[in-house]
Amino acid sequence: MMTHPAESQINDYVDDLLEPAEAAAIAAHVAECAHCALEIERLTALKNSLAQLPRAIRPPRDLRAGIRESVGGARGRVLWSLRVPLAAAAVLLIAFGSIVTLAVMNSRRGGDVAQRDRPEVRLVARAARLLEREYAEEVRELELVLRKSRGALSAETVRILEENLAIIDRAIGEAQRALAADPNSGMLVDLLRSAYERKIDLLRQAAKSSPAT
Amino acid sequence: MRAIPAREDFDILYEQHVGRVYAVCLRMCADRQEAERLTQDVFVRVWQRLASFRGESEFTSWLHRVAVNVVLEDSRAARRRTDRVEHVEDPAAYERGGPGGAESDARMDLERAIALLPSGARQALVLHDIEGYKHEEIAALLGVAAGTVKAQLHRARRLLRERLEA
Repeated sequence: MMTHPAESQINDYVDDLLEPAEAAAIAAHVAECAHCALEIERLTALKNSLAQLPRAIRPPRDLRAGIRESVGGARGRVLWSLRVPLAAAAVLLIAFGSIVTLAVMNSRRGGDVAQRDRPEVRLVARAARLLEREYAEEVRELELVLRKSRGALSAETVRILEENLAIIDRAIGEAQRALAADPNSGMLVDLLRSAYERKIDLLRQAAKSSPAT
Repeated sequence: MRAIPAREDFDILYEQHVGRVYAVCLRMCADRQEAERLTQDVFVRVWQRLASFRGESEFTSWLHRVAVNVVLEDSRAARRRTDRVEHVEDPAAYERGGPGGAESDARMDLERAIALLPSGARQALVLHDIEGYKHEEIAALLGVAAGTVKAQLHRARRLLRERLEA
C-alpha cells in the first residue's frame, strides 16, 4: 500500500524546499498516485494564481489630506512646505548611490595618470572648480539668513533640516571624491551641480518658511 | 553630458507607491477602512523617516518593509483582534474597474477568500505567496518560529482551496 506524503511534505515539495532525495521520493510516488498528483497540481495552480495577483491596488480615495493632517499643525505646515526639498534630499542620495559607484568603478578600470593632462580633462576640472566657487557664495549667504531665523523654527524642523543638509553635504562630498578619482567625468560635474542646487533650494525654502523672515 | 533626473516631491512619491502600499495593507488586514488608515500611517512614517533613508537599499524595498512593519505593529497593538474569521464589508475593495470576465471574477473570488482567512494564516500567506518573503523572514517579522509560519501558510492554502474548490 502506498504511503501518501503528509500535507507539509506536499507543500514543501511544491515550494521546492525538500532535499533532493526526499523530493525524488515524492516525485516517484506522484508518478503512481493520481490523488497526490492532483493535490500537487491544484496546489501549484493556487500558488500561481496568488503570484499573479496585482501588486498594487489603488485606494478608493485620495489619502493625502489625512496624511497632511497627521503630520499636523503649524509645525506640520512648515515641514509640509519643505516637503519638496526634503524628499529631494533623500531622492538625491538614492540616485547618487549607484551613479557615483559606477563612476568610481569606471575610473578604476579606465584611465591612467597621463589622462589627467589632456586638455578636455583640464577643462572639466576647471568647470568643477568654477561651479564650486559659484555655489559656495550663495550657500554661505543663505546659511547666514537661516542662522538668524533659526530661533523661529521648531526644534523638529531644525533637526530635520540639519539631517537633510547632512545628506546633501554627504552627496557633495562623494561627488567631489569621485571627481578627484575621475576628473574627466562631465556626469560627475552634473551630479555636483545638482547637489548644490538641491542644497540651495532647501536653504531658500527653509528661510522662506521661517515665520521670522 | 547625461541629464540628471528632475527631483521628486512627496506627492509624486505618493502617486508612485500608494497602490503598492494599499495592496499590502488591504490584504493583510482585510478591512478597507483599516487599510486606508494604515496606508496613511505608512506615508506619515515614511515622511518622518525619509531623512534617515541612506540609500543602502532600493527605495521601493525600504518603503515595502515600512508598510509591512506598520501593519504588523498595528496588528499586535490591536488587542481586540482575535483569530476569528473577518468578513470584508465592501467587496468593492477588490474591484479594479474595466470590463469584467471570468479571469477578473476568479481574481476577486481569490481576494475575497484571502480576506476570509484567519489573521495569522492570512498574514503568512500574503507575505509568502504574494509578497515573496521567505519563511525565516516572515518568522522574524512576526516574532514566531519558522515552523509556525510554515504551518500557518499550509493551513491558509488548505482553507483557500476548500473555499475556492467548493
